[in-house]
Parts: sequence; structure tokens; C-alpha cells
Amino acid sequence: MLVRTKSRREFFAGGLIALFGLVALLEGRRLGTGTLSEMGPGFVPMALGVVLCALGLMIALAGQTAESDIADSPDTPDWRGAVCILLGAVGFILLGQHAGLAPAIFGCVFVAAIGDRTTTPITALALAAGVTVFGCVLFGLILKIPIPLFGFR
Amino acid sequence: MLTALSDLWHGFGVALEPHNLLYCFLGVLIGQVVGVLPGMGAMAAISLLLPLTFAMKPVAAILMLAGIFYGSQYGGAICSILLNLPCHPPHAVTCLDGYPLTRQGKGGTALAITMIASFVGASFGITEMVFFAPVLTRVAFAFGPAEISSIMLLGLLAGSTLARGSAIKGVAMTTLGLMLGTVGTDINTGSARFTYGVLDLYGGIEIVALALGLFGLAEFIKNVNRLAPVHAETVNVRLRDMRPSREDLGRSIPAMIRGTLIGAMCSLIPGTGPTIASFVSYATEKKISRTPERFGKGAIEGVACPEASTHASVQGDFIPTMCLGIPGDAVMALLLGALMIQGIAPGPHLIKEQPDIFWGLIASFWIGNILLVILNVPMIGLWVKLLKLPYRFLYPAALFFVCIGVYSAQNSYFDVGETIVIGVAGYILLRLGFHPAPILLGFVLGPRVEENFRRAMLISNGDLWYFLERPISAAVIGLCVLLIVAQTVFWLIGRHKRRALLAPAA
Repeated sequence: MLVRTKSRREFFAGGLIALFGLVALLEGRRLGTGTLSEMGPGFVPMALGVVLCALGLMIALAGQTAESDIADSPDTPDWRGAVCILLGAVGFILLGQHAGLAPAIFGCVFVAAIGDRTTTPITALALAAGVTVFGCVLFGLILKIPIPLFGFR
Repeated sequence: MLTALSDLWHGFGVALEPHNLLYCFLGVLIGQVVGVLPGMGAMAAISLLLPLTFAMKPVAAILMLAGIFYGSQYGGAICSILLNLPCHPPHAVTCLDGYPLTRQGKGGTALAITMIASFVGASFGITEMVFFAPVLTRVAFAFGPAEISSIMLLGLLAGSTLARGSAIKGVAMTTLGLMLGTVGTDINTGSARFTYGVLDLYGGIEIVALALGLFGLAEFIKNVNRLAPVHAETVNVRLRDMRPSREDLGRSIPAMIRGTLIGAMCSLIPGTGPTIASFVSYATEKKISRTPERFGKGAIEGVACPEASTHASVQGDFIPTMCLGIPGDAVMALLLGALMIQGIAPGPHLIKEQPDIFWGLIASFWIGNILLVILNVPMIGLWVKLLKLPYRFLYPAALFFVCIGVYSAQNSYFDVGETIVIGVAGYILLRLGFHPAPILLGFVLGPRVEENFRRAMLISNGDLWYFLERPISAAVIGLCVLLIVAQTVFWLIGRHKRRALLAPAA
């Protein structure tokens, strides 16, 4: 069982690398490779594409991993945490553009904080409030980054 | 010899200027803090502060960023000895004997020995840099585009195959990094590559977005709800616990010296950073010890020797980065990126044209290491308290710093979006068993590899044999081939062993 999931993972890993290679090959062909003495803009992407495809195939077919890879690679993702972290970052972009620095910091930290399963909404609120005050003072007042504290430009 | 010393003297003058000293202190302090905090890394901290350095003078900027790097090595030792958490890869070995010592109530002693070993190792690494760098530079002046491309190829291969994990996956990551480095307008022809009509991509991928996506966002997603909370009651270290006994010192000092020498040697081979140095030195120490059975159960030598070699090689790693402009690992690549953003071309000209940067940096290493010992020894109680800060408070705040850090690099929300995409991709790569660090290596070196390769091909009129006709270049290419052959052989032997292990079970 373990061996099978492992080699299936290697198959996907190799496939992904080969896919990147394919993207590079297509882009290289579109740009034109030229010759060795007069390289076109597509030469390097084309070469990298060939290497990536070859490496991808080798990874997929070898199907075996060093032990350290297995120890280091994460288990199934924690969906709640992952989604909250990503939403937090998206929230920073949206709120920063339309509502200002303070709401952006608050939203980003709060949404990310509730991604942890042991954090209560109250603690998340307190954490978000604390970071907002600190962030507004440091980035808004001292470093003067070009996002207004409230409102948009 | 004498010129090196007088240059170093000049360097101390630069590094001791009040505002340079301040930034050096700030750097090691931040490094120490992120090193101690579980789940935070030097890479993320350096990339976070990168945008802040755009407005700074180059000397101050590089002193601070370098300070974060070696500062985090000191902080990481605390985390790995007291909690058995190797926050940074080189410390994985330190845990083996450091944590058993903590459980025997000798954590304080282990920390003290670590500090001494770190300082000894670092001092030797710096000395190596002072005398070796000018020699290497003199040789490097004779290099043409063919030699530079070959050495870069060797650096890329070594950096990706000798790092952790499977060699072939490492090479795949480096190649992916090279590909990401070509995104944007091609400097030679002006055509836009991999931009797919997105105007924001014409300037290329923002290095801060790439680094923080891979080492910030992807790590948060990996660690959230997964990092076990720290058991606070097991760690309690006070200053008076730290004084090592005479016996401990007697055991550690020879180990430190051996570790230092191994670390210093490893740093000269491109691509073998502190992680390899620490593993090699631990293995050596265990092999030559008269009581190898004590290792893994709290042998003080097992802490002293890998720490000394880590620090010797951390400092030595700066030699190829500064002299040839070829970074050995991802952190060095990032520092090189910082220099290039400041408009300073790395390479053999650096020492001559920017003596303030080179010699100031070396002098600041010493000052920074002394500052770190001062920071660590009397304030150990504070760092132990910081260790107990839970990850669930840490990562939301860190996420905000990532967002604002990326934004402020170019005042662009597009870059923040870029970070999100790269973060998700980075997590997928982690999940598939890749180590994303070599991506950064390829990304920084990519454009320069292409430029030098093109130049070499222009000179030779498209003749690939040109690389083998020039002796230095040919020798380096030979090393590349040797590296690949050696890796393949090791892989085959390993596979044979695994098959043999599996066979009786099946």
C-alpha cells in the first residue's frame, strides 16, 4: 500500500515537471530558436523544455524516492488552514485596494488566524487588532508605504 | 597577505560606522529571533526585509541581510537543542545529541558549547575568506564567458544534487528556476517570454514574490494545524546552567577544531553548504571517537563538532558568492539578488571596485558574531520564553508581513497575487516530494547563465566544442560529468540495497 502511493506520487511529480517542460517547449517554438551562433529568444526556453521533459520522464519512471523526501513532504493538506491562509492573502489585496491599510491588515490576520483549529474567534479578533495597530504605526506612519490607512486612492 | 590585513582594517572602519553597526545589529537580532521561532526561516526573513533595503545604502543593506542569515544559525541551535525541532536543515544533526543532553538536564551546557563552537567555526571561516578570496579573484579575472558558463553549470548542478533529497528532483527544481528566470522581456532581443499578454509580467517575476511564496506562504500552508505545540515545562534554562565543566570542554575543543576544518573545506566546494558540512563532520566525529556508542545519547562532542562546521561553512559560503558571483545555495542567491538590485554587479571586480562592501562585510561578520554571543549568553532566558510563542499566533502575523513585504517591493498588488500563485504551486511541489530551495538558485543565476552562454557562442561562432578547448572550462565540465556519474552510481547502489532489503519480505 505504502509503496503504491509512493510510486503514484512519483508519477504525478514527474508528470508535473514534464508539463512545465511542455509549456517551455511551446513557448520556445513560438519565439524561434535560431541557431547556436545566432540564438533566437526561444533557444534557452526550448533547451530548458527538453531538459525538463527528460527529467520529468526519469522521475516518473524511476518511481522511487530518497527517505528524506518522504519524511519532509507534508501529509494531506489541512484544508481549513490552507483556505484561510489563501483567503487572508486575497483579502489583503482586495481590502488594500478598496478600503485602506488598516482594514487590509485586520482582515488578512483575522481570516488567517481562524484557520487554526484551536484559535477562538475572540483570540483571532484580539490578535488581528494587535497586529493592525502595530502594522499601521510601522508601515503607515514610520515607513510611509503608499496605501492610505482608510479609504482608497 | 599584508594587503589583505590592511584591507581588513579598512573594512573594520566601514563596519564600525555607527549606522552600519546599527544595521548589522538589527540583522543579527532579527536573525536570532526568526531562528528561535519554530516554523520560521532565514529565507523568509531575508526576503521580507529585502524591499526595505532598496532605499538603503548598499553596504548597510548587505550587512543587515547577511546578519539575518548567520544570526538565524545561532537562534536555530536553541530551538533544536531544547525542543528537538530542527528549524533549519543544518541543525538536524545537532538535535541528535543536543536533545538527549537537554533531557539529562544539561541543555544549558549544550547551548554554551554550541555558542563557543559557533564562534570558533565562524572565526575560522572568516579568516579563510580574508586570505582566500583575493587569490580566487585574481584567478577569476582570467575567466571568459566560456569559463563562467561552465562554473555556473557546476554550481547549479552541485547546488541541486548535493542538497537534501533526491538528486534528480533537485536538478528538476533548478531547471524550473532557470525557466522562471527567463520570464519577462529578453534583454538580448526584446521579445517577451512566458508573459502571455500580462503586462505586469514584462519586468519578470519579482524575486521577493518568488522567495516569499516558496518559503513563506507554502510553509504556512504546510505547517498550519500540523506543528505540534511546544511543551513549555520541559525547557527552562538559566544563565548559571550554562557554564560547561572542565570535562565537557576537554571533550569539545578537539571536536570543534575538527568540525571547523571540515566545514571550511566543504565551503570551498560549490554547492556543499552548511547542511552537508554538519552531516559529514558528525559522521567523522562518530567514526574516530573511542566511544561511538555515546553518540545519539547525549555526547557533547556531537553538538560541538557539527555546530563548528556549520558556522565555518556558513561564512565560507560567501567566498564563491562574492568572488565569482556564483551562489552556493538559495540564501546566497537571495543575497546576490539583493546586491544586483542595488546595481552592483557581483563577480571578481567586486573586491576592487566595491572594497567597502567586501571588506566591510567581512569585518561585520566578526562584529556580528561577537554581538550574537553577547545576545545569546546573558539573554538566554528571554530566547527560551520566545520559544514558547505558539505557531497559531505566529503565522497570521507573518502572513501579513509577507503580503506587505511583497507589496512594498514595487508597490504592486499584482506581485501579492503572484505570491499566492507561487505559494500554492510551492505547496504542491512540497507535497510531491520536491525541495523548492534550488528554484531560487536557478532563478537568480538563469539570466546570467543565458547571457554568458550566448556570448561564448558568439565568440566561438556556434561551436559547442569551445567549452572543451579552453582548459579551465574543460576541467570544470569534467567535474560536472564526474558529479553526474557519481550520483548515478550512488543511486544504483542505493537501489540495489533497497531491492535486497525488500526481497525477503516479498
